[in-house]
Amino acid sequence: MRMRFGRIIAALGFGALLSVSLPSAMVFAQDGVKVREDVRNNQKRLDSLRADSSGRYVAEMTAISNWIEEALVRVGKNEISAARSLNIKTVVYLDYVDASLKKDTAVQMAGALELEANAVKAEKGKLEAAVQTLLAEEKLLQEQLKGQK
Amino acid sequence: MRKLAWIIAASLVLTASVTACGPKEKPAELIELERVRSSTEAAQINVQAPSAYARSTELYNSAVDAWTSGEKARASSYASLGQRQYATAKAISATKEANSKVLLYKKEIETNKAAIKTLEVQRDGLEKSIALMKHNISAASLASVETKIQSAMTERERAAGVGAKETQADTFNAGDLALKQATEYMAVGNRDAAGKAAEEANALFIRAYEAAKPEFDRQQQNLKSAERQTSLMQDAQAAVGPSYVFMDMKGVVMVVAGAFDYDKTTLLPIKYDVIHNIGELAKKYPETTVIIEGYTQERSRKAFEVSQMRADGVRDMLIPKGVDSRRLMTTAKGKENQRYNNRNKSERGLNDRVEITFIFP
Repeated sequence: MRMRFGRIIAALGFGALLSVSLPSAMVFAQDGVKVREDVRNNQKRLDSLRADSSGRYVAEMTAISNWIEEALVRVGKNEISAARSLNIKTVVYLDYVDASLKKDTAVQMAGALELEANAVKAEKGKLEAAVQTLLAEEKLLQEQLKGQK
Repeated sequence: MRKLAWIIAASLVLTASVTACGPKEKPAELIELERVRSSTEAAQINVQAPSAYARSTELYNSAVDAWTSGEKARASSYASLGQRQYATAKAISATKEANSKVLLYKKEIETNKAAIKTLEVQRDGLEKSIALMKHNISAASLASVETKIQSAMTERERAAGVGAKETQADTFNAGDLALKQATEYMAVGNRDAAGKAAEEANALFIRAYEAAKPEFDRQQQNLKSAERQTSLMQDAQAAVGPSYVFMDMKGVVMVVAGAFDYDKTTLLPIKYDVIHNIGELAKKYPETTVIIEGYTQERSRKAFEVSQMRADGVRDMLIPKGVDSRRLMTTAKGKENQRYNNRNKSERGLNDRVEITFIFP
């Protein structure tokens, strides 16, 4: 009886251990999958940015690339927390590069358009001057015509 | 010995606790992050890029929490990420600003291009209008010069018509020369010079015309007078008889011989018809002045008075026939200019006469 009680206690203890350790292990495994997916997404985003960068922000992108590699290693070693931290850093820097590239493009376009606007304005000015000259000439000729009549 | 060991251990624990609880040094990254977040541009960035700025704020808060918890390294790391996130927010803000500029410039370009289009249309219209006016002015100028040349040619004909070519040869030839020059200038397209030459020719021909005209008129008048005189001669010969009509320097003279008895002033009835006919001639040739001269024969004793009365008598007969009295002049010639032989009794009486002269202007 005592022995049976001891087995029951052991079984209960093992069951309790399983009930605690299994869910936490499953959660841990799920976290690993999510972090790995984030790392992959970061890699895709980096590739896309690199294609649009035209050689700009090389240092930042190299650093991001290193962090992505390190994150993958950490995930492989089940160091999920460290991988997640690296992912956070990577996303922040990807956002930065993305925003910077967009800003550069917008600034470049604004600059080009400003030049065009100035050129158009100058052309308008020239035309206005030409029209004024022509109006004066027309007035003079009209007076000349009146004189002939 | 044991006591000393306890003292050393206590000192170490105290030192460690003092170190742990001492003033916390803020990481440089956090200080820098705080600095940029408190700048004036941060407020604008917060408005322009609220999400990115909010993430930066989260990272800042995490950094502060870490620092407060004494996790300096983590605080530095969060602050560094916060800085980067702030830079991202700044870039988004700058992008929005640049995009606003892009829109503004695009709008400005569109507006100006529309204005340019309008101006181009206006310019083209003005250019066409000006070209047309220039054409009209050129045509008018050409027409003006042609008119001037035509006018000079007309004046030339007019001057030639009054004989200016002969009587005002110098002026007329000068006009011809100027006219020729005008035509030559016109042929080479020098309108100004052509116009001036034509004007000069015009003036010269007018001058020649005006100088030649009086002489021409006089000649014409003379010619006309001669024709009229010839006509009058024929009419007078028919009215008075061929042998009593002749022409002298003054005009056509009609002699009414033997028209009065000796020293009498009354016209003999036999001469009434002659005076009547002469009155008709006076009416037919209204441009003439009629001079009535009274004569007597040599034996007259009061020749002057009688001859005057004879002339006046004839004048008084012509007036009722419708001859204007202002055209009639009377003169007493007495015994002057005896036309018939006074020694011959039958001819002597013929000198008692009147002579009526029609003078043309």
